[in-house]
Amino acid sequence: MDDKEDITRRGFIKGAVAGAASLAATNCSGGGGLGSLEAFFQSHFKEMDKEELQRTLKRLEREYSEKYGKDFVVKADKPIEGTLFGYGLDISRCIGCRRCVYACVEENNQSRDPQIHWITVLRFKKGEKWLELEEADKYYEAEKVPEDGYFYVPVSCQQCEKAPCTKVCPVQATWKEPDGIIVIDYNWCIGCRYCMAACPYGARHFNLTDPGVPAEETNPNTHYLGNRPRPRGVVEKCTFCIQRTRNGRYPACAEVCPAGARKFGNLLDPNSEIRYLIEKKRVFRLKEDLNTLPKFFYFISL
Amino acid sequence: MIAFRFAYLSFAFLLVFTSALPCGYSAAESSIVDEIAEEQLPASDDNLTPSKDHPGLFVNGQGELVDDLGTIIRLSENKNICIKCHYGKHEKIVVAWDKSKHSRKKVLCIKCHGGNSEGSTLKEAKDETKTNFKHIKESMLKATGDVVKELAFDYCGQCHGDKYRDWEAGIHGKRTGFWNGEKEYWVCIRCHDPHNPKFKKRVPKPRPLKPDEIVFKKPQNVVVKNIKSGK
Ligand code: HEC
Ligand code: HEC
Ligand code: HEC
Ligand code: HEC
Repeated sequence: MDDKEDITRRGFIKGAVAGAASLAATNCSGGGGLGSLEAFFQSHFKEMDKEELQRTLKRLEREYSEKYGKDFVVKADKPIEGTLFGYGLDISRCIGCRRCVYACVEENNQSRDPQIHWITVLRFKKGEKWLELEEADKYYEAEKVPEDGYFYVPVSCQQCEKAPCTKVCPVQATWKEPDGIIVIDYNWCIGCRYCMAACPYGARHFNLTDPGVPAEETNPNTHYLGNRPRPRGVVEKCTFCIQRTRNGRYPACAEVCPAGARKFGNLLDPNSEIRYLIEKKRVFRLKEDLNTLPKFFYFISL
Repeated sequence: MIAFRFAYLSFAFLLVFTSALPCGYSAAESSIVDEIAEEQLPASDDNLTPSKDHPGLFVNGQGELVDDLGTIIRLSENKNICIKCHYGKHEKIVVAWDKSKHSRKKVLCIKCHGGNSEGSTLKEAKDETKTNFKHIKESMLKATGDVVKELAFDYCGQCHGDKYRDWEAGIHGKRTGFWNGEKEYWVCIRCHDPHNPKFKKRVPKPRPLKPDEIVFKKPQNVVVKNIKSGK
């Protein structure tokens, strides 16, 4: 990747050359939070005081409501104390129907056109001796699923405890929250895409253009670090539905799964379903040898 | 553009387990429906009251269903009795059941309908407070709290203990609601048709677009040069 050309707005601030002239030249956002002078000088999310945060949220709500013609809520709910989120996926019961993919798109305001999916369902042949993830078919088409002789492995952000993606970010626009969710501040991301290169799971996605989401399909209940509409030029990914899970709800993908193959809960709670499955079932994580320590556990129950 | 880079995956682990996944089930053993299809029901000429629900059967003074000789119909002695008539009346159900693993493993109608005590009579079988065809579905789907668990256990869990335990822990099946609060259990029959319990196949949602199918509209007023193939 070419640094010089990829560094945009934030690079200028960092270089302390944020004069009005360069501002005009680099104000490349098509709405979605970076259009105003205020947005440009906004602090890093973690450094904002209460007042600035409230101002920022209100400003974003105004911008989104105007842009999409309905009332948006942008929250910044803090982590619930004593939680570390974990996810379980039962590959012996996943039927590969892709309901999760589209529920995620709708919940999280992903771009329909150009298409961005945070979840990719991979299909594997049963019983082969050796398999590599890149040989899996993510474009399978079938009249009905599950197909005999295949199994399915949906992949999204693995929420690694030792996340390689956050380390490479030159501007700390992505980090791990205390409840274990890896988040991105879209107002801080400079779009260099180092994190995408660093992610071994292909879980990060780039908004090359303005995300295309029909106004009537937008989900107006959003979180600053989650599903709020993104501007063009930033990276995005699964946040365990931070806007839902920090309010006790299940992620949209888990709620929609017709097979009940998706499990979610608090790893610190010994009575949670996620702990039950880790203790009682055969569990593995993707690319364990990379030592990224994902909090996304695949398991087999049948 | 969004190509996966999965070069170093060690997936052998996965394979060991998945070879244990359920696979196709082989051909049927002898069918109960076939066995009884030819049989006729006895004619009635006694002075018992003909049963309203069950033509061909009678109700005696105590309200028990009896055959034409006045013998109380006991489920233990008439394991296939429900099928005999309900094949005609509820053909779909009986045919579905007949093709299912349940029928092959002799999980008869009375195992679920009419309680499971061997001595129960048809009258008890139809007791609304216990197990009535019409009411099972409603009560199962509407039930909340511990009643759901009782129903799941009575109907399915008694034989599928392992699934029931996992289900109770929230692993098999599904719970909705709040991960840190009230949860709603999905009863077994919300996913499994009791008469043909194999999980139904369904039509998948569209596949994602391939990289060359994704069209990026030309960005306006933006300087995004040097966009490589998108790693
Ligand atoms: C002799 C034929 C016959 C036999 C044997 C028979 N049924 Fe029926 N049953 C019927 C008919 C006919 C009806 C239809 C009544 C109606 O439509 O209202 C019926 C209705 C019912 C109903 C009420 C249906 C409803 O929707 O609520 C129940 C419950 C029922 N049967 C249970 C049983 C059970 C359990 C057995 C076996 C132990 C059995 N029946 C055996 C003929 C039979
Ligand atoms: C594994 C348990 C089980 C077995 C075995 C079983 N049923 Fe059922 N049956 C149920 C349950 C649970 C319901 C209520 C849910 C529903 O209607 O789908 C039900 C509902 C019914 C109904 C009412 C359906 C309606 O649409 O109102 C009929 C009739 C019936 N069963 C007949 C039979 C007959 C005849 C057999 C034997 C061939 C049989 N069942 C075997 C569990 C069972
Ligand atoms: C009387 C015992 C009994 C009851 C009650 C019972 N089952 Fe079964 N069930 C069996 C047996 C035996 C099998 C066959 C298992 C095998 O072959 O491994 C089976 C198989 C199944 C299967 C696998 C079907 C397939 O084709 O792969 C499902 C799903 C299932 N039962 C669900 C249920 C549900 C749901 C209920 C409650 C409505 C229920 N069962 C009630 C005994 C029972
Ligand atoms: C959310 C939907 C859901 C619910 C609720 C549910 N199941 Fe299942 N069940 C599944 C799926 C999915 C499979 C795997 C089917 C497949 O791969 O073909 C399955 C498989 C099974 C099997 C077959 C296991 C095998 O080894 O092949 C049995 C038996 C079973 N379920 C029993 C139950 C019982 C008993 C309950 C209630 C206590 C229940 N299920 C509730 C979705 C559900």
